[in-house]
Amino acid sequence: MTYARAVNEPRHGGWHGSALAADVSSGTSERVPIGRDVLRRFIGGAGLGAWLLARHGDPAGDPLAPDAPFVVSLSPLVGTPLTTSAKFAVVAKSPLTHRFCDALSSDRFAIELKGAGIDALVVRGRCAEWSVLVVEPGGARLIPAGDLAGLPSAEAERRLLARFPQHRFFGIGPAGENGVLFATVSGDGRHAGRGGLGAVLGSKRLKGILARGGVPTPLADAGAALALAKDLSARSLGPATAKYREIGTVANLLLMNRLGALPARNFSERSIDGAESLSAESLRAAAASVGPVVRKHCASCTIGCEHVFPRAGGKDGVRMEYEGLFALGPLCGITDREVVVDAAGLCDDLGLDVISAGGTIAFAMECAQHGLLPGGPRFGDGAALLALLRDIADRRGVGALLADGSRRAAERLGPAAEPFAMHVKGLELPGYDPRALRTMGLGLAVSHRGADHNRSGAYEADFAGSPEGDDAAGAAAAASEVRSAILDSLILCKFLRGVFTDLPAEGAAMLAAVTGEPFTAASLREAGERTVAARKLWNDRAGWTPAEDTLPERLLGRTPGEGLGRASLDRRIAAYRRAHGWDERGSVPAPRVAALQLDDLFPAPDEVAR
Amino acid sequence: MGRDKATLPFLGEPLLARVVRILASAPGIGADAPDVGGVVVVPRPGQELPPLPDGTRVARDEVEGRGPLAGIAAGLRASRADLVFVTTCDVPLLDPRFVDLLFASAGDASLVFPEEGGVANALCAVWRRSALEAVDARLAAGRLRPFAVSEELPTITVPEDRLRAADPELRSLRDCDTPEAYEAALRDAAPLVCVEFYDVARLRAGRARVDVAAATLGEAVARAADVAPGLVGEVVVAGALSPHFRANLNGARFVADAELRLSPGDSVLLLSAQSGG
Repeated sequence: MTYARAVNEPRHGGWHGSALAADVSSGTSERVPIGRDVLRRFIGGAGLGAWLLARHGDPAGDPLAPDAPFVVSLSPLVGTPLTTSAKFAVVAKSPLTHRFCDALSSDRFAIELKGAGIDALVVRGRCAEWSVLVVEPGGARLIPAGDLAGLPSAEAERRLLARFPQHRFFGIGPAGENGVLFATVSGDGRHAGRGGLGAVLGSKRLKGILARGGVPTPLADAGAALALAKDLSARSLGPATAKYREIGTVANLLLMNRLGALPARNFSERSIDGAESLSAESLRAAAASVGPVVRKHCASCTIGCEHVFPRAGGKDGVRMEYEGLFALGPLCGITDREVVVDAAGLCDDLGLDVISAGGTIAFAMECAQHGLLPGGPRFGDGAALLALLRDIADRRGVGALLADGSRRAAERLGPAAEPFAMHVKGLELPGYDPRALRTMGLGLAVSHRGADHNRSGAYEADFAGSPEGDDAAGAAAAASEVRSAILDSLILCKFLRGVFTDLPAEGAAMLAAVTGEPFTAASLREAGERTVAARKLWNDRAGWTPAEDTLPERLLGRTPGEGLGRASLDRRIAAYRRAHGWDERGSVPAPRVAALQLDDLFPAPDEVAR
Repeated sequence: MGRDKATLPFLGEPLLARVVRILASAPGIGADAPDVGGVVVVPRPGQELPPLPDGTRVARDEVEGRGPLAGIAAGLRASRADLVFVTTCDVPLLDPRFVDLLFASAGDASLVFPEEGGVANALCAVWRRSALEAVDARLAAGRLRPFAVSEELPTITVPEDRLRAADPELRSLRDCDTPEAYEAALRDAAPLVCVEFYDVARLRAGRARVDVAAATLGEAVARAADVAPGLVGEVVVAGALSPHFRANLNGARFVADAELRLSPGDSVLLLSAQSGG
């Protein structure tokens, strides 16, 4: 790979300075310049995506309407030799939560899309028939994809790459086509999983996006960038990533079970008998009779965290991660290893978010247990789980009810079902029980995209010894969001987080070398705070209310001391808001908006009226 | 002592159970060596045993009055290992490193006796299972002194200075024959705690857990590394927990203070600092 150097003075690199806006209704596209000041402020990935969604999207609009934008946001580091940098953010209004949603993925698709000479892609409109959007250096075009409708995204990808071997694909499976509100978008087996952005792409009758690049990412200081990349690669192979390299996130299951942090039977329990059968060791032992567990890497990644478990009977191997393991296993009362692995593979094929799929089915199981869903699935019924996943993707039978997620299903089943819907802002909870991991509980309660463990890594504070006192917990949760926003804007993999001793300083050095801009630790930290605030401001305009920042009642604890309790959670939320510089109600005050240079994007309501 | 020593309470558990747990944590006996069949307890005829750790096997010596040599014979007969560590039930300060040293000293010998003050000890020693034939012959002849078996089998005596390299105060050889010795052992003993390994720590340790005698978190980490040397250099660095790993007490709270005092029965969980997804 060669790296070009920009010829402008002063030397600039990293960004191309434009987005491609594609209207798939008309089949037209145009390059839209993005000012360098915007790129400096929002960088890329989640940050640039927030800016683009704020510029192009109506927070109050229907996320599945043709006008709703579907943004793919790249970053200045994509296409550089920095490890784990082949990442991109998909940003749109979530049809599941009706709030801001950004979901990240990783693949050579990022490099090809950026190689088309753009920093982002904004898709609007609705195709007349199922199509694929092809993005190349010369622009964008649509090709018919009726023959791909109904296929798993991976199969569509295989067929398309046979025709377009120089391209890379990112698309949806049957769930996205059928508007399942927790459908994913995926490429090379990796999913932008949360929030139902696959349904947004499906609403545009787009099976996916094919990208081919060729335009190299310019490096302002190639020598410095290469030196930083070499150092980061070396550190990425150290002890801070050993768990991901050697075992994968499936290692979490036994630990969470031991800590009483493993959600089981729809969060009615915090551990499960038989968890050992789903341990990393058991998974590997069972796989050994079929074939080797294959370790895979994303493009441009030295870590290689993916562990693909072979399956008997000629079925494709499955990447197993903790979230799929817990959500399709213990959360549904299931410890049958083969069922859980098959369910994870099925979610991949159908294009379903494993957490919301498992969470919504676990909700249905508890409703059935209480007589609220006659004939519904029972905890521990693996056959019912597998059948329901297909029914959800096809919106068939009770699957049609569950395809809209647990919150809406509960609304339809009535008030008695609502306590069993384990979500925040409509997004089902990940596998970290807030009764055991209480700083994480706060992070889940306040996250902009709902119950989410990627935009808030507040469990790190719990694992380091929970912060004492509400103020410390609030500050830890706020700091975690900023740190995540920095990583998600650079974009670098979160599995590198233990490698950095000073993320803002080290990230700034990388950005400075690549872009030629005078980034500092302070400016990068401020960019993280800006992104967090921008998503909050967008949610305000989408109808957010303070009451949304909460946890399901069950997770506050049924007995004193079991969970945070309502009063303690409220105190921590208040401390979190103070730590961000927001007001008591959770709104971003005008001076803070101005200080973060967000007033052009989010003018005060009275200014809008004028 | 006024009661069966096996049942004497020792830091929250019967004395025999403690000795069994220490032995099960020694390299080559416990979870890292499933083929040897673990720890075998040989009670006197008619002796009632206290509750013992899971996996403990019991072999009976059904003939009264033949003393410890008959117990050794029953134990050797029940064992699946070539080399067998033999001890009495009243050595609560037994150190797995001491046991490991005796195993490592065996060479081709049939018996490995530790020596303290110029006196060799046959009842805290390693016996090769092939010694059983000679032991049975002596029992049949009514010659019941265990030490005397060394007269006819190749025997190694491990000198005191070598023993102290593994167990500086030779606490492994302190028995509880008197109430005073028992009280002194209680004062000197560290509680037995369980160190559980997760994710990378489990990979490096090569086992899921180990019991160690440790008064503090720091000691538990260091003792775990003694028993599971694969931890050294990555999980345990310079005798302390690496910053890339975390410790949790009893699954209830994360702890970092190496001086944290432990209680009998505590569990220390060692895990990667990157514990999320």
